[in-house]
Amino acid sequence: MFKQIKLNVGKKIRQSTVYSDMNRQNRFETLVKAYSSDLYRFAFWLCNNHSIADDLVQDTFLRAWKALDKLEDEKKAKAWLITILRRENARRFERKQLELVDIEDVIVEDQLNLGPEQSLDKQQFYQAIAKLEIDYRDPLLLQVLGGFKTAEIAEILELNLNTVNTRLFRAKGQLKSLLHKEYHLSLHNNS
Amino acid sequence: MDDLEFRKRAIIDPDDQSADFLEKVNQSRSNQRFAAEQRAFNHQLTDTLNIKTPENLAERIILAQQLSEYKSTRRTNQRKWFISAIAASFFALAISFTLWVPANVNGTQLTAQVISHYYQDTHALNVHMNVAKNNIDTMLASYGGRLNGPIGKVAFLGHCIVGGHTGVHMVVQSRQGPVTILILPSESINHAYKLHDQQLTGVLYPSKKGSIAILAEHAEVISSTRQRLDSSLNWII
Repeated sequence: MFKQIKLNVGKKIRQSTVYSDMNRQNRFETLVKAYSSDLYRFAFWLCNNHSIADDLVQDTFLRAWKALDKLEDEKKAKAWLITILRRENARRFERKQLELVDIEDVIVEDQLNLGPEQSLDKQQFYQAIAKLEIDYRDPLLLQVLGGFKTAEIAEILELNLNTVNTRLFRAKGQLKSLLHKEYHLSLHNNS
Repeated sequence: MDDLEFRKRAIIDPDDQSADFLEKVNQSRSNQRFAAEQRAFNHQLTDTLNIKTPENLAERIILAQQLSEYKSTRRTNQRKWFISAIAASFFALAISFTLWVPANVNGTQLTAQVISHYYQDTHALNVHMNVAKNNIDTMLASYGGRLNGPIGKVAFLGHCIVGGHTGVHMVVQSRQGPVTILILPSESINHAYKLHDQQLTGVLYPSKKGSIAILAEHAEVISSTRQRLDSSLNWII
């Protein structure tokens, strides 16, 4: 009798663990499906390399899986994942000296599937974004790609709001200036 | 808010919804135009930044997570699994199998290896991948097999090593819980064996190519799974 009761209790505990694992797995898969593409884009614009971006996203989600219980508010999931991604990117710098990419060699991916004129505009935008200093690129990516408000960007980057505003202002100013140069350069090349 | 401050704020965040900013936007046409230009610039930026992402990115991330989880569980539970493997071998010896024909020694060894593998790979029971049919087809094709019909919702799919040869390890969801299917194309046996121990029940039977084991906690799902599998699985090599 005693053995039977003990066995039943054991089974209940095993079942509840299985259900809890299932919930955790489902929660993780929901996060992956909802945010992996956004994170990939963010990673790509941080490192300008598809292969590294892929690794960064994989590593980010592995860390997120291990720390999933720390995510209490699902509304903050995207910001939480981006914070992990940025830390993973920083670790990458710590691990080894980055291979330098010549910005001039960076070309618009074929996958953009654009017409020749559009492609030129995209190319110019692409080059200009890639040339932005990382301090300016970070808040810009969070705003334009992540859809975060300036106060949220300040929280993610652990900066005060004024600094974020200044960096966004300068980022866009630099971009416009770079685009202006690219535009005149392309006119010159065409002529 | 003066004009300079307005322009600065419009550049920083043209979608600012605060009352003072919106009021300033609506003060003049030139302000409206300036704010609209900044929004257009942001949209153009978004358009550029929204590159295409690789196909199957989410699936690859989930797979990497499950492999990592599997490795980690293996490490932490190595000792536990060792004990389980010994226990499984013991149960296999004590297996009450009903033979349609007299026992075959290799078959008996294979039953022990099948049960041992089941306990070593219990992580597969907790994986919920919703495996696509084309993934199953790809894996079966490497052994010369093909599924011509549905076998149920496959929650786990992987290669396995049983008896020194590789095979296909699948877990199918059923109302009575997960059903493990081990397709072992290189393990031929002459007879069918019924398997059961304290936790599981199942069958190991000869297939047109090698053998197949079906294991679950509830006996009633074994025969239905076997019927579905036998009518769907074809060997083309």
